[in-house]
Order: sequence, then structure tokens, then C-alpha cells
Amino acid sequence: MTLRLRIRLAKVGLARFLSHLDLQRTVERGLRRAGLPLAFTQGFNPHPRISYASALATGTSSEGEFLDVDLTEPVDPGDFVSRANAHLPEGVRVLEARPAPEAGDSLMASINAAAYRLTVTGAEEAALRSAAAAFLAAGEVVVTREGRSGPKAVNIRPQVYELTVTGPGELRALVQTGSEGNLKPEEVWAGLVALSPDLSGAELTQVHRLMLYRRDPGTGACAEPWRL
Amino acid sequence: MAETLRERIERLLPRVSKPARYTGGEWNAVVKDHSKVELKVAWTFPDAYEVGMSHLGSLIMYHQINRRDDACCERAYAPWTDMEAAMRAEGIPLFTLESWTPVGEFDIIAFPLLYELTYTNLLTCLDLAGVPLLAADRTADHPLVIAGGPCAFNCEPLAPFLDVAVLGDGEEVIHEILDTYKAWKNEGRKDRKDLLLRMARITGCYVPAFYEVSYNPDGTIREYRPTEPGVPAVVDRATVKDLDAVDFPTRPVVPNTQIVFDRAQVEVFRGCTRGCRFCHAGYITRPVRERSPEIVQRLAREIVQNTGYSELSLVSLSTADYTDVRQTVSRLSDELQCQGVNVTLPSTRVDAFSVALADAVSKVRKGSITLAPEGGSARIRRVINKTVSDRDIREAMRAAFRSGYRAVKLYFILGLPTETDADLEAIAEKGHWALEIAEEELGRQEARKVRVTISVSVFVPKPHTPFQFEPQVTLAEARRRQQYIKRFLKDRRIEYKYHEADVSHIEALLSLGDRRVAPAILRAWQMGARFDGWNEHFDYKLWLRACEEAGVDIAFYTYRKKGYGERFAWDHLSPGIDRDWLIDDHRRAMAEQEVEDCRWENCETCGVCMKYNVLPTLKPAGFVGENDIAVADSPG
Repeated sequence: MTLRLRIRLAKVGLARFLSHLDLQRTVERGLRRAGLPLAFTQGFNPHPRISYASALATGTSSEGEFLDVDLTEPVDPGDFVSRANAHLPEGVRVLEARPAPEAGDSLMASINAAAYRLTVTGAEEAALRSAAAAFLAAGEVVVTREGRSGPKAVNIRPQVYELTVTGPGELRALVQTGSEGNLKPEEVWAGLVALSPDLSGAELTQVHRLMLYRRDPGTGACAEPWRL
Repeated sequence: MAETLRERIERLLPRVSKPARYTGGEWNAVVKDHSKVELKVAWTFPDAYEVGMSHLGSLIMYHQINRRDDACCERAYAPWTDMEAAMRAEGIPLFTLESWTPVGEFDIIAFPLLYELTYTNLLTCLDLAGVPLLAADRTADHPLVIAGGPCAFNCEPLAPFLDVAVLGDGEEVIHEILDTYKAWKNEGRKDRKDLLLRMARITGCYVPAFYEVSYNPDGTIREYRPTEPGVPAVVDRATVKDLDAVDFPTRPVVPNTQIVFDRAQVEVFRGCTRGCRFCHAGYITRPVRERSPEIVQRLAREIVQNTGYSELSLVSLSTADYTDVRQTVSRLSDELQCQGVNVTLPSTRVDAFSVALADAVSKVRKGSITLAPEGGSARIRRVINKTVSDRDIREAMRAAFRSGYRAVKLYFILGLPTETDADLEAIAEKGHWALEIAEEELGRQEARKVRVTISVSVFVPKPHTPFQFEPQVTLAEARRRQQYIKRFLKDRRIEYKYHEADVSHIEALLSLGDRRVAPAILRAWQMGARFDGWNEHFDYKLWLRACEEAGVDIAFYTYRKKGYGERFAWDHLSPGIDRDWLIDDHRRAMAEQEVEDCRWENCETCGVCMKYNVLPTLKPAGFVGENDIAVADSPG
């Protein structure tokens, strides 16, 4: 029998410069140091059974990383949080742990949307608001994406579900993520700039992931990854 | 409000490659309040973060300094070229990862010297720290610039840039250095020369500025003369007599990002008495001093606990030679396996025992095993004193295939003294041996899957070895020999790899050079040389131009056969070996005679033990019967 906890993790401060692989390595070592009863894979080269919902780009901070950790004996979720945090380096924090749902898709397969906060300098709030409105009103928003066979024009409009200005120099975007299709928040910004010449002098200085969701394509309703 | 240095650095990071090299914040990093310490040391590794963080010596010294209440040690690394450009554009100085403090504000800047091709990076670090490159230009207000590690035993090419070079084991001498510095500082930090004089009196410390060098008309060195009273004519190295008596770091800094050796390390012994005549490390670290198995096991357990690493490596120059290797390996494997931790050995000696040992700890079968016969023919292996027979090689290969390995990597050195084309053909022959043995052991069908890699590096004569008298083969000849071997490799299952010979040529210049080579290093750095040990950065033509402009004749240092009577640039920097013994051993090499390993056989009186009153210390386990747990001799 294995016991599975679902964990919400933050990667903030200078730790945002860790790559996804770096984060995985750092979390694994922290949990090992904490002496938590990790379950290991079988075989010649055993490693802890930890699975992540979604990879996060180097340089992007987050308070919405989710992972499932398999244990060999029960650990109180609150204890898990405090023991893990006592052994994780600066900037990597366990925010919450809950028992993972018994059934259902894997964490990675069930996630299809992510909310980001984009921080921008050099843009008037009014200009941001009109750019966001123009973005949402547009039938298509075309940006250039570097692919294996050179640059390619891509319509990103269908992948952006929500886009709001939340404060001076700050936007919130809900975009598609996961195996069905993945939109980088930087491309949302590129789309905004393409639509609004007013923003050409502005700069996207920070991207922060707020939460991952399962979004119902019919209703648009979003569920957090706790009960998927 | 003015931006802090940390904030200014943070703004650069989205623009540079591998930004996690520069963020610090690692587990076990030691961050101290600067107002509560009297001495600040910036441990500055002149290579990339992922190389520097893999260096066990740096972890040891970081621990030695930080365990003092009166001192702090923080880390800095050579910034990659994109980061250097960004730092220069923004006027950001070299900084430490613990506290984002400019390196120039530290009392002491310490450089480990592991590889000659990091010398230009050392200049980058000094320059970015705002410290004058030339020791002569520094005042009492500047940090003291010290350097240690293997290359310190001929640091003459760096002589004008260093205040102090430290020879030998650092664990004990560092405290003398810090205490001496502290006393000078507390007396008002008045006269830099006074500080250097005090340093020069510490065993193991060499102050290049206190020696005057004269030269013969043919360009060879006539004499090194100390210019100050109390400065020794020959500088002895610092020696730790008992490894069990020195602290070993059980809370090493754990990187967040991938490094070269990303694993826990326990040093099981220091020194090596195998006497491979090309091997610099083998001569400057004598004699063998083992750590007790009980202590090794305790350290391993604590390090794994404190780091969360999933791999533990038992390191030394030849771990299969550790007296208690079988029991230690099997005990640790048993203990750590249930925590998902693998025990590994860094290198495999060329014999069946070592292959069996590697197999016993390898949880991943069908990987590759590395064997380093170094010389192709039995004759040349006698010349280099690599006491491995053809039979050992065959048996090691056989054991490897029987254990389930399907890939064998064979390492050789090209351009060894007395080498002929027949020796080169023998290198190729070893590749074919591996395939023959694979077919015998596995059958034709299975042997088709076997991969053999033959990797050949170019010999660089090193100071303090019996081959210090030898020339390097010319670049053209090295390239011919590289191609010559290729002609004899007739099977697609053999992959042939060789390094660019021009890199080894500059390595030879910097290994064998004297202080007249320093201007060429400076010139190369000014012309843009950085990370010369990295293929993507090394620029041979730049080095040729730099040497020409600085008036340095590379061939004088690298291609010249040197007489037994010649005074070398490193003769006053002593690892304890008698020079006469090196001459005798060179004669033995030319006569194709081996010397025995003094750990088990007769003492050949190389002089180290008598000089430092330290004996080879072998430490069999006290807590386990001989046959309690054993690694299977014939696995498979």
C-alpha cells in the first residue's frame, strides 16, 4: 500500500532561477533530509516516487506548483509541511499538503490551465487596460514562436481564457497549459505588445504562476488540483 | 533608495545562461554576520560554479574556515563569459554567493589551483574584484591574494599575481595563515611587506616576491635567491599526518543546480604510492594516509543525512587500494541502499578485483566501465610504471563483460617518453582485445551490442615527477600519432576519441613555465582568453600571439629535453621528494624498470616519509572480521 500526499509548492525569490530539473532535484533532497518515509521505485536505480503537475520555466516564480509524493507510511499533512520546510532551501516552500484523491487521472494529465501574474514596467495603466480589452476582443492574436523548423506565426487567442489588469503594471492571465497545449505567459505579453503600439517601450519584468487548474472547456469553470 | 548589489545582480540574471550559478541560497551554505567576525575569506574558484562546487578540497577548506568563530568563508566563482560581459556593462564587481558582498572587501582572496588552464580566469576574478593584478601594486588596504592546490607546486607562471602560494594539505596551515593575518590586522594593518614576511615563515607558505631569480645565458635558471632574512631557500609543503585527526565536512553545501560531481563525497585516503611516473598528484601528495573505516562510515552516514544526496562516492586517487575497501563498500551499500542511496567508486583499477568491486556497487547494470591502462604496450607501461600486465587488462575486460557491462571505456596517454609506433598500435590492439573477449564471453550475437571507447589524451610532462626532464611531443607529431592509431581501428564497435593536442601544448607551457611566462598569461587574458579548459572557448592562435608579444618561446619550455643538472622553476617548492630520487627513477624509466608500491613492498626511499616524519598509514577496520562480509570475487 502506498499513501499519496498532494503538495502545493512555491518557488520564489532567487530560487525562481532554478530550472524545472533543478527544482525537482532540490525538492527530492529536501524531502530526503527531512527523513520523510518516501516510497521508491523498484529496479536497479530506485528513486522517490514524486510526480509534478507541470514544468515551470527557469526565471518564473510560482506559488502554484503541485506534486504528488508517495509515502510508505502515513504522515499528517501538517507535519509533512513543517518537516519539509525545515529542510528546504531558501525560496522553495511547501504551502500546503492534503491527501491525494484515491482515483482519477494523474496530476499531470488532469491539469489544463494556469493563472499567471505578469509584472510590467514602463506602461500606463490605461494603456494596459485598453491593450487587454483589445486582446480579448480580437478574433485572433498572432505571435511568432521559435520552432524546430524556424520561426512560425501562431494564433494564441484561443489559448487565453482570461486577461485582466489587476493593478498598476500588473496583469492576471488564465491560459492553457499541459499536454493538450501550452502557452507561455511571455507570449501573452508579446500579443499585447503586437496589438498596442503604446506598449512598445514597456518591459515584462517578472512572471509569477499563481495556480494550476482543471478547466471545464464547456462551462469555463476552474477547479484547483486538490480534488481532481 | 539606492539599489543593493543583490538587486542589481538579480536584474542581470534573466539575461544570462544558467542563472542558478549566481543565486546562492544553497542548503548548508554558511551565512555569518560580518560584524561578528574578524576575518573574511572569499574562496574564489577560477572556473564555473558547476566545476568549483564539485571540488572536494574547496568543501574541506570552506568547512575549516567557517568552523572558526572569528572568521567567515564565502564562495565566488568565475562568471561565465555572458555574465562577465553583463557585470562589466553594469559595473558590478565579483561578489560572493553567501552575502552578495564584493570580493574586494574581503581580507583574503583564496584561489584553488587545480588546472593550469584556469589561470586566465584567476585574472578575470581579480580584475572584477577591483584588486590590482600585480602583487607589487597592492597596498595594505587590498585583500591578501593566496592560492593553493596541486598547481601551487609550480605557481611560478603566476608569481607576479600572487601574494602567497600554499603548498600541501590545507586543513592545518590555513589556521596558521588566518591567525597570522589576524595578528597583523589587529596591530593596525600597517605594512603589507611585514604581513608577507610573517606569511613566509609559515611552513607551506611561499611568497614569490621574496625571491630573486637569475638566468644563464642559454635561458635556463641559474639561481633562486631569497631576498629577505628568514625566508627559506626551499619551501616545504604543509602535511597533515593523520587524516582521522582533521575535521571533514559533514554538512557540505548542496547545490540546487546540476554540477559535475553531484554527489556526497568521503575521502578515504590521501596520497598514492603506485608511482605512475606521469602522475603529478601521485608525487605531490605522498605518502598514503588512510582514514579509519569506522570514521569513513560515520562520515558517510552523516553526510547523506545532512545533504539528501542519492549517491555517495568514496574518493581518493585509487580507491580500490584502500585497505578496508571490500568491507567498507559492502557495509555502506547495505546501510544506504534502503534509503535509495548508491555507493560509487570514482575510478576502477585495471584488474579483475576492481571490476568486481565496481560491479558490486553498481546498481545499474549494462552501463559502461572505465579502465585506464594508460599505456598501450607492456613495454611502455613499464616505462611509466603503470604496473598493469596484459593479463590484468584481459581479465578486467573479461570480468566486465561477465558482470553484465556492455560498454568498456579505455583510457590511454599518447606521446609518452620512448613511445614508438609499435606502442600506438598496441593501443588500438586493446580495443580489438575487448571485442575478442566479448565474443568469447557473450557469443557473437550478443557481442555485436558491445561498445568500446578508446580515449587518448596527450602527455603533459609535470613538475616533481620523474618525467619532469622530458619534452612534450611536438604538436605536429602528436597529431600524426592521433591519426596513426586511427588506422589500426577496424571495427565499427570501437569509438575513438582524442583531445585537441593544442590545448595540451598550452597546458604544458603553463605547467613547466617559470615566472617569465606570466606576461604571456596576462597578454592572453587581455586579448580575451577565458575558460581555456573549455573547448568552446580555447583559442590556440590567441595564445600563440600572446606568447609572441610577451616574448615567450613556448618550445623552450615544452619541447626541450632537460638535463639532470638543470635548475627548475619549481625546485624550491618541495613536495618532499628527493630530486636525486626523481633522477634515479627517470633512469629506471629509461631502462624500462618498474618500482614497487611502497605501501606493500620495499621502501624505495623517495624521501617523503623521512623528511616529514610521516609514514604511510594503513587502517584496516577494527570492527569487522575479515570474512564477515565480502564482495564476490567472480560475479556473474
